[in-house]
Amino acid sequence: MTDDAILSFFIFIPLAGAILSWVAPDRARIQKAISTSSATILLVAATIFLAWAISAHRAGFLLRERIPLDSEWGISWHLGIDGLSAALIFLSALVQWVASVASAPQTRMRAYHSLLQLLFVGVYGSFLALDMVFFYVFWEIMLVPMFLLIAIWGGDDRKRAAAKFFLYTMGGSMALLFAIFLLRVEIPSQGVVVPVRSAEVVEQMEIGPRGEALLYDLPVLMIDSLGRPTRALASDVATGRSNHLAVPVGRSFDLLQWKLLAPFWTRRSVLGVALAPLCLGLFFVAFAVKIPSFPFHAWLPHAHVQAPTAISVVLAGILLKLGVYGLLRVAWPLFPTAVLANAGFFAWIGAISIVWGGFAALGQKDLKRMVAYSSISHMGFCVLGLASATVMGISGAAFQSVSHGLSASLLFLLVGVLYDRVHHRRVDGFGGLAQIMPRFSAYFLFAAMVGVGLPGLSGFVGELSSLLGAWANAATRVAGWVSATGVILSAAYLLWAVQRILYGPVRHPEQRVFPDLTLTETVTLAPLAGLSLLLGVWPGVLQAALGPVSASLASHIAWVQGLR
Amino acid sequence: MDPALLSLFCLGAPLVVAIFGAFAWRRVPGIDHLSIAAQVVGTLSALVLAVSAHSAAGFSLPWLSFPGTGIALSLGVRLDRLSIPMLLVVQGLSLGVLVFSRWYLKGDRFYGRFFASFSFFVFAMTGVVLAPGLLQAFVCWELVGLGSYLLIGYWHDKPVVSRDPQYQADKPFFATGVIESKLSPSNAQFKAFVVNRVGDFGFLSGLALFAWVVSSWSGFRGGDPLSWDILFSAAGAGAFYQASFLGLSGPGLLTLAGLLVFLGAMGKSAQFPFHIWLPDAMQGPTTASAIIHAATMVAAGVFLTARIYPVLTPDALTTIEWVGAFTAFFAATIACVQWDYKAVLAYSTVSQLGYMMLGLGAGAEAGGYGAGVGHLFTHAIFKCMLFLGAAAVIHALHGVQDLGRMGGLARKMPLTAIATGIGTLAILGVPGFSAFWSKDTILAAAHAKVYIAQVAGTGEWAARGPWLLGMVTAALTAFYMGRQWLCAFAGKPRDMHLWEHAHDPDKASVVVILALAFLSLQAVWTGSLNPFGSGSWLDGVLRAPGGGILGTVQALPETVEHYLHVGTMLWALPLLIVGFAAAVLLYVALPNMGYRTADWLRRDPPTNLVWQFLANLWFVDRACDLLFAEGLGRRGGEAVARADLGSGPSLDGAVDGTAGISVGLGRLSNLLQSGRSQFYAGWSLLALFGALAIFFLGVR
Repeated sequence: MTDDAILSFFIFIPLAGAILSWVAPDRARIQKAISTSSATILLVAATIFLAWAISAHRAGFLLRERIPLDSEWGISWHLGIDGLSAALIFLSALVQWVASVASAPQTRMRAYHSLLQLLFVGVYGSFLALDMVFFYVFWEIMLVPMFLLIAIWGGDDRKRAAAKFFLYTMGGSMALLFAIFLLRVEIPSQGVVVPVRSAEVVEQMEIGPRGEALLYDLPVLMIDSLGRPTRALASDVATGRSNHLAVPVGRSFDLLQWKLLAPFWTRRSVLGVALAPLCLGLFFVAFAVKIPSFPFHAWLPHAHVQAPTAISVVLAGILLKLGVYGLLRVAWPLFPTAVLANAGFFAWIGAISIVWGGFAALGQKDLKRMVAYSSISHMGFCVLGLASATVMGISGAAFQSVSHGLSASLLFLLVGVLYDRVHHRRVDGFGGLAQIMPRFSAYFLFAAMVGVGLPGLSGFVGELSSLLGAWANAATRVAGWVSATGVILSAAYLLWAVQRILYGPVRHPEQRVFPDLTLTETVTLAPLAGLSLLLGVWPGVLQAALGPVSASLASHIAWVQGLR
Repeated sequence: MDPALLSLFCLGAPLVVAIFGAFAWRRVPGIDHLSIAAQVVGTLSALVLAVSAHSAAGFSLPWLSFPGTGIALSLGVRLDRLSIPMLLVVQGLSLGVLVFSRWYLKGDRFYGRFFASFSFFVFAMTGVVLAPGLLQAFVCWELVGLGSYLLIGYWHDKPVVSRDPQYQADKPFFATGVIESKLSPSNAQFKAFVVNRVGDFGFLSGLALFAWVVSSWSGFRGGDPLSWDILFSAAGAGAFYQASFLGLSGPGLLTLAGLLVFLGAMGKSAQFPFHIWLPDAMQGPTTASAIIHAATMVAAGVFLTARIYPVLTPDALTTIEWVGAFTAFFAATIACVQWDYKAVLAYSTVSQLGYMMLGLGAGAEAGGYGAGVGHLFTHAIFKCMLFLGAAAVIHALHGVQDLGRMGGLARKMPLTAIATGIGTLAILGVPGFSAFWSKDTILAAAHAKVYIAQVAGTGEWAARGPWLLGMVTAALTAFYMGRQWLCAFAGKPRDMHLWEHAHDPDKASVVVILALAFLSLQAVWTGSLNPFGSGSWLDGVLRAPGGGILGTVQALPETVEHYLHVGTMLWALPLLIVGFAAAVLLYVALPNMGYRTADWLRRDPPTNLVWQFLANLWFVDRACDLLFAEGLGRRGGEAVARADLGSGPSLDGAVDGTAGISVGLGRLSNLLQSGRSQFYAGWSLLALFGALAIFFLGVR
């Protein structure tokens, strides 16, 4: 809708960086410089957007840009940023920066850095896209570089891990694609007039040239007492003169318009199967693979163990968040009734992920694999919170995503620090490192405490909000109660690892020569740790961006449910 | 100055030291002075507050709000007649312990870190005390746990005791029950944290339950549903009748919520069966144990239970009373057969905490609230002093903690012996010392509950059980505490070499323990020596809170209460004498008989069972280790890990298998796993372009 294509730069800067990396000489220093500068530019831009979102403190989009490409199918280059995507884009930029600094590929630097930036084209694109075609395209763009990064620069068993990652995510993508098609086909050619929530119109309204109200570029209609529609003026909406608003939605792939169709989807069925639960299920599979939720998680431990450190950081720090983002942005707004009808099911998926992941982490002998399972467990809180469809739960899921992005990145970086020195990752292959590497140990204990969910650090806020949300919904309450055992499990597996690695007498005297953290390592760890502390002490700063969006989604869900 | 502002000094001063110390403890030598200075500031502020603040005050700031729900969780400060005295206790004792620690830890390899961690602990504990609601209580509760974690693991580089030559050389004669292959500072800190987390699981669930019920209550007008004011008024106004969960509603649901929070209190206050972490926590420096594992942190559970008193239903209170009574008895029996100086004190702490819970559980009309809270304060002081005395003894004996190698220390360290003796008399409940008053009040409250049950004609025996256990525990306490003091300080030295080098601590440390000994006199509390003038200040502190569901509670008539008190005393004093006399007989009058008896108990078949049972800590530690640490934790973890990703039948394998069922898929995966990178690239690009083609070409 706007002509100023500011948001597109989030996609074109890493794309340009990828091309630049590809044509630049294959020298580590040059490649790293390109990669890091592109990440730095993006980080600055993302910080500005996040600051804007925090100060704006509203549910609507801060900025949208839309260029129609195809009128018949309704495909358009449609990007938008609100508090949720601003927070996640900021996290992505931070993780990209950390990954660029922490990357040290031994071979083919050119290809590595090129693919790394290409990966982030997909990441930013997915977080920004409001058109389902482009959402899908960006979603797929992420897949290929990640696959190659694991398969080429990974550990000994990298091929198998990469193939597994590819098959799982491809399976999820097929479900995504099928659901997108199904929904697009279901929209009648003459379009539908659907009622809209007046609060949403107030939040998101744009004003047309003649003062008429526009919602997501569609005209807002007022329905009078006789059922006749008239064009609503912005002033009517703003003064709240009409509670019966509607919008005519035509055929398109526009995500926001699909969200308006939520009451419409509820009534449709395909071959005798209700459309909403079917598509919700397909979306859930697609996104749960990414999160990953039990039982779609088996690719993650393989991929993490084989991936190089920086790629593990990207995988845990950002790629898993896309699953949560997909649920938040696509699945939940489109099918509120199906979400509420299956809230208990989703909550149990979350609870099982938390408990199963926690126990599996407890039983690991490989440190990196333990962190991978801890990710499954922690991300379970996101699913739990979302399942409750309450403000607390939804904002908790979003908060937990950001927080886990920080804590998992910290842990993977720290495991990488150890691996660089000793070239193995066996939990029992260390002991007494606190005497040898005190600064490393401080960071490790800190990262473990973020994972444990110690209050004052960011992990607590997400878990608390998700649990409060789960308790507030009768359907998710028992699952929420079970999920709270996650606080025991996380303490058990993380602090057990801390005990075995950091404390006790030095068990391997040859490790006495280990240097403490290098400057590069500190530079990557410090911002993540600092941010975890900031968000733990003062969660309100991030909540200002996430809260209104979550509240808007929660009331959207409740409103659609009320229409039935 | 505004009282709420003044209390921020108590929070802020230690926090600043902790943050500074965390970064600088290796390089900056003066952390100890800094932390003491901060504690002086804190103590003075708390004193001013105790003298000047007469009405509740405080503030709270929103911390996390959820738009559209009206819920704004907040942090802040609340000063009232429960938090101000507790604040004074925490700040004052911390100051004393810090001064003492300068002597105790002089020359230690981690010297500075102790003061940094300790200051952090004081900050967190102050946060619990000042909490304006359940949320901050939980937040700081966990931070207190971190402080405890850091201090237990202070000597984190020590090996497990089965491989520690020093421990093996010094360990007590009858050391059994301890799982030596598991006991090291780093293991103890881990165990303490995880066991506490089990309790915190309950706390967190209870918190969520309260938040849900209060915020969905029809009278909720926004704000923090977990703040004491809103929480209590909602419970009082029947919010719990508007909610139902698992078939529970009204009082049943409130009982569940209260008991869930109490689960957290059980963890921190080491109530059975969560007590297992506390004796192991003695691996930390003894001065840290003095404040954390004796005086304040473990009392936080009691404090929290007193805090949520207005929402505890009679059923919840009865449960609390039983838990407390059993814990008191259970730990006292174990303390009777311990030969480690600190282990006796550790189990004595568990037992005394059980007493406090017993008192609180007796209920407001029986006077239980004041009894529990009063004992919390008196115990904090004399137990802190007893632990500092233990630190003095252990320091003097170069790390030996075995009662069997002590004896006759009174001549070498007279001031420590006097102070510790006063503390022992206090914990025994001898008239003239503080716990005579506070413990007697607890037993009287338990007695009053029996009386109330008799009058009401309901559940008399359910009330009589805890009272009986409390009485027996009084005798056991007299025995094991008397035994400890007598073995250490009286009689002839049993290890001349150790005895010859023993000495009192330095002047400042002696002043600290003597001051605390002075505060263990009863007159300081209920008599003319009370610094706050009269008994009315104390009465105000100990009066049960009003709000919540306690609005209708009426105390017993004065005469009945007096009668019960006297009756309790007439029971308790003879029991005390019997217990103490047994200790004197076995360890002083017939000095060899104690050992012979123990030996005899150990050998003879019928008594051997009892001895084994007690010496092995009722086998609770071993059972927990077997069931939870080994069973659920290690084996369960390994089983799930195998089921998820093992080489045998597993989830991962099942998914692989499913994928392989279809021949086409099988071929695909064969191709994919061919190991040639061009295939990976080819497949992925093919998939991508295929998807794009479907959209852009196929549709036209």
